[in-house]
Amino acid sequence: MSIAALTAITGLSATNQADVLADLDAQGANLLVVSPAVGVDDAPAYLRESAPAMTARIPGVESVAVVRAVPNRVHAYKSDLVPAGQTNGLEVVAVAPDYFAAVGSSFEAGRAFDEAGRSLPEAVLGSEAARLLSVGDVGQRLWVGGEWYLVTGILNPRPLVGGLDSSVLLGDRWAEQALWVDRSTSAGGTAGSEAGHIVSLTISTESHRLGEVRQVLAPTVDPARSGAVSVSGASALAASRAIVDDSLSLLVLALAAVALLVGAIGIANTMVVAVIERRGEIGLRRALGARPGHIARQFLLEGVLLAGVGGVLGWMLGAGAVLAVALFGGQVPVLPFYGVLLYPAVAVVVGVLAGLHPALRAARVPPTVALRSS
Amino acid sequence: MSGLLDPGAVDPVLRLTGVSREYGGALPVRAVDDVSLSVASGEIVALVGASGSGKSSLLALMGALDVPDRGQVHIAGLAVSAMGDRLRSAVRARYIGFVFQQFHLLPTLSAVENVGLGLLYSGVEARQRRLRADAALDRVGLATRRRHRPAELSGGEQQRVAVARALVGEPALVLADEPTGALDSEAGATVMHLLREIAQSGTAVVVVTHDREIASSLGRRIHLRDGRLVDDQVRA
Ligand SMILES: Nc1ncnc2c1ncn2[C@@H]1O[C@H](COP(=O)(O)OP(=O)(O)OP(=O)(O)O)[C@@H](O)[C@H]1O
Ligand SMILES: [Mg+2]
Repeated sequence: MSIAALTAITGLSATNQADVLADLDAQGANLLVVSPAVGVDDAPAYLRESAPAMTARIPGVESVAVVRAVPNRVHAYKSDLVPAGQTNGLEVVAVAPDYFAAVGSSFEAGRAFDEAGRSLPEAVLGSEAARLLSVGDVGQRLWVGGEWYLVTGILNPRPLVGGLDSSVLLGDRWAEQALWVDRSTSAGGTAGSEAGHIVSLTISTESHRLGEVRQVLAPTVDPARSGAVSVSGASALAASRAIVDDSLSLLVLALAAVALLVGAIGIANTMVVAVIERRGEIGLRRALGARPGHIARQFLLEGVLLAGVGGVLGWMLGAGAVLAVALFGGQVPVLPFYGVLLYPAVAVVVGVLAGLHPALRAARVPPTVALRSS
Repeated sequence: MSGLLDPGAVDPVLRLTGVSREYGGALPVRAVDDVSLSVASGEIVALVGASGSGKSSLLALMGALDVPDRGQVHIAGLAVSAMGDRLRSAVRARYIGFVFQQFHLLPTLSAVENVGLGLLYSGVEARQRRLRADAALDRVGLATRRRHRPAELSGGEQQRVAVARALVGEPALVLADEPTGALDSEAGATVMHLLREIAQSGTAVVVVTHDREIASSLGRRIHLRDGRLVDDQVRA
């Protein structure tokens, strides 16, 4: 019975734990953002072109999303009637279509630009940007850098990816081929060398390796001047993730220990009762020549058998409960698979420990006393 | 005499010398008081006395279920009163068969399995146990009921299964504590007949009984009063 509880507790909590952790990951607990440290002269700084490839090679990194700059003159307005300069603090950047998946953002409306849209005047808006620009739905137009853009997607809020909510995201090919070229032709090509420079990387890591990735990130991105790179992440969230991971496991362990203790007491109790109820049998067996050791062995074996069978049944019961609860709750059931072998084994050990005392007590009953009581 | 075996005294099967047993507690009770007697193989003895006179206590000493405070108990020449629990257990398994008033059959086992239990602790392997249990059941006339559980048998039949269990190990000594006490006179007579047969085959048999008729039908009668042996009569 207590093995059922044990399986159910560990199974349910593992399921819940996986759920909570997935939740936290969904909020960005596993994300790190790399950007250039702001220089003394406040000059715009960029990350090296080799940075994304180098970063992707760090063990524990799942994906790397690149954000590139657009020319300084490019700002976003609700329409061509808005006076230049009223930028609302919105930032315009260029990204590849896979950026959205990499940072784990979801769309309130529409979708990311596809491979074609990457080279076209299309825009995706962060949630705050959409609000400020009064864009309610996709299909609306936007005045960016002196041209009309089609809004293809509006993102859900994603506060943990720095600046995303107040960003206007354009396709990286379009930015490279239209914006930068446009400027270089009109202004003499001075900024051509800046075309499409990387302003930040958003790195998604395996959650539990966030810390180690974070440590090697700066030197990897810029081996020569790691001080010129700043790494930020949802550190509080990452910390709480670690706490959830550890504390849930600890809580489960505590609950499991209690369940086992209850089970052990249950078995011990059952055995004590059995020893009292079966005094007549003990006396008879002693009369037939059973030694104290025979009696102790018999009861111990029965206790272990009871516990072992209980362990297997309990595991099945517990597993059933976990499945049922997970299915009702729409969670993905997580059953620690080692339970199949471990829990019955644990049950047997508990059976031995719990049954030892009653078995020895049974063995010590004098045969005359045992025979009298029936 | 040294050692546990007294080689000159394999017979009598049972020999008690100055045996006393006192139960402790706030008010100590001397249940058996300085009893000396012996029982030879083939003998069948009635042990009689009022309730509380110490019959069951004496039987436990005879059967090496208990040890005396004073005196010696020899079974088949072995000084069981000087043995530890393990050795006494072995003596019971090898030399002694018990029959109880309340049968003491295990309710979950069939008749043949209950009889086989009488060989379990002498180390007889399972197949042999089965064969010998079948033979013993046949001897008490219950060959056809071998697969029945105790609950499916009458009281008399249950006691016959218990007698089969006592004799399956071919013991030197059979001790029966009021074996007919829970039976009607007819079933009791059948059980007594079986016990007499066992004695005739060379086994020493001691039967505790309240039944005067049964007592007087046996060859020898030992009378206890307040733990003391007051009369030991062999009928002519
Ligand atoms: N374990 C014990 N502890 C204390 N006193 C006991 C114990 N066993 C027996 N006695 C006492 O010893 C005396 C003899 O008991 P015993 O059972 O031997 O009598 P009995 O002749 O078999 O009686 P009955 O015919 O009623 O079965 C009784 O006074 C009994 O109360
Ligand atoms: Mg009695």
